[in-house]
Amino acid sequence: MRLKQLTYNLILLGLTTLSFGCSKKDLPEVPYENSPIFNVVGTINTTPFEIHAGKNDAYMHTGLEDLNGVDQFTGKLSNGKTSIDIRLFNTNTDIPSLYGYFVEKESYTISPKYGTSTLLKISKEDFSNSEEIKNIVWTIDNEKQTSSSLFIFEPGKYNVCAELYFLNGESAQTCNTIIVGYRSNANYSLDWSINQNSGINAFIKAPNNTISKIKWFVNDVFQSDSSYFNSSNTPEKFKLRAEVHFQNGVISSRETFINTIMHGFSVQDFTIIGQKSSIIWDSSVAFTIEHEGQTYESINNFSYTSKFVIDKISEFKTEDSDAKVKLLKGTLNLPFLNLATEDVVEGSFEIEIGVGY
Amino acid sequence: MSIDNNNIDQLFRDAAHSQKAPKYDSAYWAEMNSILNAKKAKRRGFLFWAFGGSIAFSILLISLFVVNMDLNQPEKRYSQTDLKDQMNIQNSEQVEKEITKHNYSNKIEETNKSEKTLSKNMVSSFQSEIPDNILKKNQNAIRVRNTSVENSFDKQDLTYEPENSLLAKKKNTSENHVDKKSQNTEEYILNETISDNDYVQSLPINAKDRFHQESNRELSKSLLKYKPKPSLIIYAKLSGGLMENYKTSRPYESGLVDFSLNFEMNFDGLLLRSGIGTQITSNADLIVSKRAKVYGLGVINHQNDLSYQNLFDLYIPLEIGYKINATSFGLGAQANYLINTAMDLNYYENHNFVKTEKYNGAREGLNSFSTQGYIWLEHQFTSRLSLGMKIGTNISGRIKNNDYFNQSATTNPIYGQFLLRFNIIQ
Repeated sequence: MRLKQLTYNLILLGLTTLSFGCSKKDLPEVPYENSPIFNVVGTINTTPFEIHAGKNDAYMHTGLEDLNGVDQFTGKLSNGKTSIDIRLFNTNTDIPSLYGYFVEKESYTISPKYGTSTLLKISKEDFSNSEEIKNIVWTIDNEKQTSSSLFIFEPGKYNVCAELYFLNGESAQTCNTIIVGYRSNANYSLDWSINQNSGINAFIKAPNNTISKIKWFVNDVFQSDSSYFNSSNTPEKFKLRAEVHFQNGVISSRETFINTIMHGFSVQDFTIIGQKSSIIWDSSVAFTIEHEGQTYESINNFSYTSKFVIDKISEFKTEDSDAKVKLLKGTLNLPFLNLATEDVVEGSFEIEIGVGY
Repeated sequence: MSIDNNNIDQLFRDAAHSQKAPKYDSAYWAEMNSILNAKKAKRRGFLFWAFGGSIAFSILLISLFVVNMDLNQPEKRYSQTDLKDQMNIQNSEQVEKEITKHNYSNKIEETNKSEKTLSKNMVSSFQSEIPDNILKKNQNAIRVRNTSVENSFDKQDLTYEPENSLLAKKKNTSENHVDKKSQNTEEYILNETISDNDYVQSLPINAKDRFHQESNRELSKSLLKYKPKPSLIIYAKLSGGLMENYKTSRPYESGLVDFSLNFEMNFDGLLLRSGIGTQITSNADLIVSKRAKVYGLGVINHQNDLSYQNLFDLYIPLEIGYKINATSFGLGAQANYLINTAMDLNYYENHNFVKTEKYNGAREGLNSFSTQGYIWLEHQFTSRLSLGMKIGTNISGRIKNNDYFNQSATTNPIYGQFLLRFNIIQ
């Protein structure tokens, strides 16, 4: 009897083992194999050029790079010896809600070369009270400039401070944000006048844009959000700042220094004075190629005829990284400048390249 | 078309310099090093098993004879020879003469004509020739045999065939010679105690023939051949031992335990076994892998290693062997059906370990069916319990040739097990 029971138990154990074998969790699949995604094939100065991310140690580096306060969408496909670098200039730099948004276009204009010509120049003579000014000390992004005139050669968004020293020994300082080389979506100026009672009347001149809101600050203390700033209860000397909100999303501030007693020792809104270049870099693209020991830069003769023609723009996603990358596919046929010899050579490429954004 | 030696040398130099030198990468060397180490491990494993296996097989073979060697064999041999010599006298036409010579014919007439009764009488007749003291010591044994004779002329039958050497002697045997041998035997076994069971078990004799008697004094061989009835035993078997590790090919790193319910048929010493069982392979490290080269910003070489640690099989064994007294040995094979696994899934990216996940029940990269072959040896210690051992290897491998590739050092590992057998029904 016991033997029968033992046999029964053994069979039961076997069946239990069998049922245990029925539970199964699916295995994750290995990622699908593919061919290189980022590729650049072509010729530069009639020399073949070819590079593929993932082959021969080539890697597609992408990211955002700050150029004078404005982010650029960049990508560099390089194996250490051969590389192609792309940098796409941002746009809408004065609209916070749109700034950083990658604008997809059918073609991107080749960026003009910068650094050689002055994009902005403000000198003492540009101020309306220049006869009272002895000297101006300019500070750009907390870097004091040696010249009494402001010179800016590169596109960017600069925090510029002007410290004016007057002939009577007084001084005054104001700081403003100046956008150079990028399209401005709202043109305006901060103006003011002193009435008979030494009261101040301040207002915004914006003929082409609709203002939604203005905040007024005296010595950085909020005063009102009315369209105008009228006050007779201000200090004798003070900084007046207006934060202007436009309906198109532009948010901008302007600052002036007001001497209510001696008007000549005030500092006007210097963002609207001086000589400013009309060249803009919004959504333009620049290529730099290193090949066989030579460095080439894409050039645009300011006629904007050279373009990077886009076939397709898509999102490139990776599971391993949170970085956002756009994959640009297109063709490039344009002149390049050999930086060593300054020869202009022809470059022709089929491009599949990534840029961070 | 003649180019002098210097030019040729220069040509080669130029050609060499125009090509890029192969880049040194420490990862390549590390990979080659691991391959070389794996080969060394494989070689060491082979030597171990070749050497160890030879020793184990030798031990098995020697133990077979040692276990079956009876230290009292000389005494028994003499006593048995004596008995057998006399019994073999009946093996031919001499049977009748001997019966006549000893005046047993009347007894035969009186007894039943059946072979069964005849056998009894023949044994009685032999008793007269066997010295008393031997006879007494062996009466029980003879009785045992007669009992089986009564039932079915079982293996301890009346007619026996001696060893070849003894047969040669028998042809020239005279009564005196027999008597002389009997006397020698008598001298030799005096004061010796031989148990009946030992005697029965150690008799190196085989049942051969049946006798047929049609009339008085006409005893002849039966045309019916002797066919012993096969026995059937149902038993459970538990085996446990060590196995080569799939990954390293090292012998003591993996375990193999199995339990089975079997039946055994014994055809006069020839054993045929089968049954059903479960087998657990532990710490197997059976690794199959899948790779993928995925291009993106760069390239990532993905590798998923399916490292099967535990394997659960349902199997059907088939064994053939031979039983000599209490010891049996033979060959076996078993067909395994993989019913469950416990597996570690290791993720690698560019040869760097990333993470591990555990899975149960996966069979990817493995065959559902596999087979093993082995040699086995058992010794029966009691009527129910036997101990033994077996050595075997996979015949058809577990690894399936599909998307996964084999990362193991060995595909057919060798194993050794000790086994415990319990006879449930016999």
